Amino acid sequence: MSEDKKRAIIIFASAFMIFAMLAYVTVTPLPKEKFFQLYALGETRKAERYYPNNDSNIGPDTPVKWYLGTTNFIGSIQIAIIRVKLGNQTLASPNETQAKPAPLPILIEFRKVLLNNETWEFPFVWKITNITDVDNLTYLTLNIKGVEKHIEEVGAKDGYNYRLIFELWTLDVESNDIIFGWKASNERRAAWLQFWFNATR
Amino acid sequence: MNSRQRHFVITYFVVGAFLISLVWVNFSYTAASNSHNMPLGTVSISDQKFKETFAVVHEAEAAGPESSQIKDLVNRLNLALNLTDEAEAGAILDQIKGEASQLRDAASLRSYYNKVFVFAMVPVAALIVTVCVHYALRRHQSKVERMMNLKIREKREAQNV
Repeated sequence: MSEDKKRAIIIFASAFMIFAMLAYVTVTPLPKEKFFQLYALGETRKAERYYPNNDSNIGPDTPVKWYLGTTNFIGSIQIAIIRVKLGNQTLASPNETQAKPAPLPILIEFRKVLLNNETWEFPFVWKITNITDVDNLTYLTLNIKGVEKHIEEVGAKDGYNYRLIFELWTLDVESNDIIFGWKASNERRAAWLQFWFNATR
Repeated sequence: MNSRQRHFVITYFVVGAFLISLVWVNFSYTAASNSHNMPLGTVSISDQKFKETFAVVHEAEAAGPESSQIKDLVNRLNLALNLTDEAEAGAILDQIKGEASQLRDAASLRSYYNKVFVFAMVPVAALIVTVCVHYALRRHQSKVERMMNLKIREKREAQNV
């Protein structure tokens, strides 16, 4: 084999490898971190004034306004479901590490299909419409976005330390199940928020 | 065509065919994984329909169409999600499913052709670089050879003087 031929083969092989790598990089999308963002803002749409007069003791018929928001950074369209639950001090919270939701009744849920990088923000207005006492425990009737609901599963002593929990659920396209949190590279992640309040008369 | 050129052409075609076959195998696998039926949970018919439609839109998005086309489908999905009339929502979902399916097929075909084109360009680009470098080196070499073959001669003017 002549020197010219050898040299040409080496050049061709080197150029081929370089261009093949470039082609692979061009057609392969870069791996990105996949996650959701869940947040809540106060009535001024800022991270402040979460309670009327900055007082977490909420009386009957006192409207409380928050803004809930979530952003999809999964890299594809996703269904975001925000489930609202009422808890107290003793009932379990959602477990992020085991991706277990709180074992509490769902008061209301909000659903939307989100594009990649899309943020969905909406007002969340609620108020206590009735407070009842049964066996030394206080039970609430809440009005959330105009829908009234009596929650007999969750009581609190003297109406102290109630909490509204917001859990983010998604539709997992692989299993076709609605799951708490989301799957990112075969790993389960979860996001949730809570607001503590006391129900006063 | 001399033997060297013949070798170049053969190498080019062999490598090109190998790359195209690789791309083809990859595309066949993607198409198969996109079209398999996903197991559905025990949900109401409208929810199941919604999930199926969402899955098709999700596949369509993964195939890489224009973002405005996906935005339109997502807007209509949200519309169906908020409708209280189940029949109307069902009709919208059927329509979205059909359109998303067509969009997925068209986008995945376009994406496949793009991939084939990009990988087919690899040996072409490598060949162009090889030819350019080869001739550049030959030109440089001939210049050097010409220089090396120069002979020292006396100036005629000097002889005349």
